[in-house]
Amino acid sequence: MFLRFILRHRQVAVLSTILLFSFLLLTFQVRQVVPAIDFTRKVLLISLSPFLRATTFVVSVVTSVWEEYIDLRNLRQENRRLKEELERLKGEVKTFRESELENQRLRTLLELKGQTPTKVIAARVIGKDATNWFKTIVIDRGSESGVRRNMVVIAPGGLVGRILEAMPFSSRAQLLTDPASAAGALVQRSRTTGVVAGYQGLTTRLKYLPLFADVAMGDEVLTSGMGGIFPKGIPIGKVAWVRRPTGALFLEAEVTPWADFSKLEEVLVLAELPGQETAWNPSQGNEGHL
Amino acid sequence: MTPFVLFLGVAVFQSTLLYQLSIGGVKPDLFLLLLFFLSLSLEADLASFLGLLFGLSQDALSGGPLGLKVFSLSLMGFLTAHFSEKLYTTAILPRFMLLALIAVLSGTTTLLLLRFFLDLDPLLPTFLRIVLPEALLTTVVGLLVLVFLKMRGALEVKP
Repeated sequence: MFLRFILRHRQVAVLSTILLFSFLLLTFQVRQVVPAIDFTRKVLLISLSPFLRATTFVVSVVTSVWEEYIDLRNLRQENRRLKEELERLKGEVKTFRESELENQRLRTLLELKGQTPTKVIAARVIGKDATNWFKTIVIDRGSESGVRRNMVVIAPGGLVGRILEAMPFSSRAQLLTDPASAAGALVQRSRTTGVVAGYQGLTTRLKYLPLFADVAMGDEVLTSGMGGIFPKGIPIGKVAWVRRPTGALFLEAEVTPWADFSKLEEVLVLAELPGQETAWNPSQGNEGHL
Repeated sequence: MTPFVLFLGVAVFQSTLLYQLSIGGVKPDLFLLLLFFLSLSLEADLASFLGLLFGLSQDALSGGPLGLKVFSLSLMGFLTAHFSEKLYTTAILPRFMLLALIAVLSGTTTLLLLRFFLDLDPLLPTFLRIVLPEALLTTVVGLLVLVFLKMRGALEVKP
């Protein structure tokens, strides 16, 4: 009887089973990290990452060949211009030698101040998030290169995010603009602390600021070091605007990140930080994920 | 063989080069588009299963929870296959309208699931910022594919 009913409504039965399956998947993941689901996800991503890597490689080769072709066309003109520039640069080299010596002296001073250098892993961005809902990137370095979950990712501009999952030869990093990302933050001028969280995947909002906090447009925002994932002092961005909503308990501020996440090509993963070895334990704290 | 190659192409393109064509940080959903065109000629249960496979892949290539796109894509596969049975014409307009509806429904389903499970960004601004532009872009790309298929005489009425 039941079997006949199922067979008669086969299409709806298949759809209902799939919907129930995905609903249960989502429910389990919201409650806790399920190793089997995590494993499935990694297997799927590992199987696709060689194709991502190959595409990125092919695109970079095609781009460089094209650029070289364009360069060749302009070679003659550029050659003449370069000869003139060479004469000018010879003069400048003398000046730069003096600067280099000064630079060496300052670097020695900085090394003394920093005591232990931070180890970093350079990585190339090989993929972006496949949906418009989350903001993550795939990088070409994984656990084989020493990348671990919750390691901090930076770019020349400042903080980029953290490692969400590390596969053997690639990793997924959650950008600061991801709606599920959060980092303890500090307004550099007034030392007011809050939490910087991703907003609609485009920008970030500075949350939990006291109503009468001293925060103004243009203030620089850094990581506060609270929460145990992001070390203190990494630039996050600049305050774009501040709002005092009526009846709200906290100030609202938007922070424009330093790094342009849409144009990220290479990033650095902070592999270890002096005195913060325990910060990489994924079971610690809630910073990094709302 | 061809659907698998198409799927692989979509998976790679969606997560590598497509962001360069994005407008305001929003890109078209090629997984949904491929599912739509394949489901037009499939039975509803097979289309749902295809949605499951596509959804799993898209979830794996995203930072979101596994199952999010499985839910919306299997539902959209089912609806596309179901409604395509009612299309007795090879004209572009009905298919275009069906695609637009499916694109908006897919985004709305994902948004509601995200709101229910993760309580992320507010509903209306996110609908206007992500769901509508994504649906619009997906529909525009889909229209180009429809015109191409029509010119090649590849649009068929489901038997």
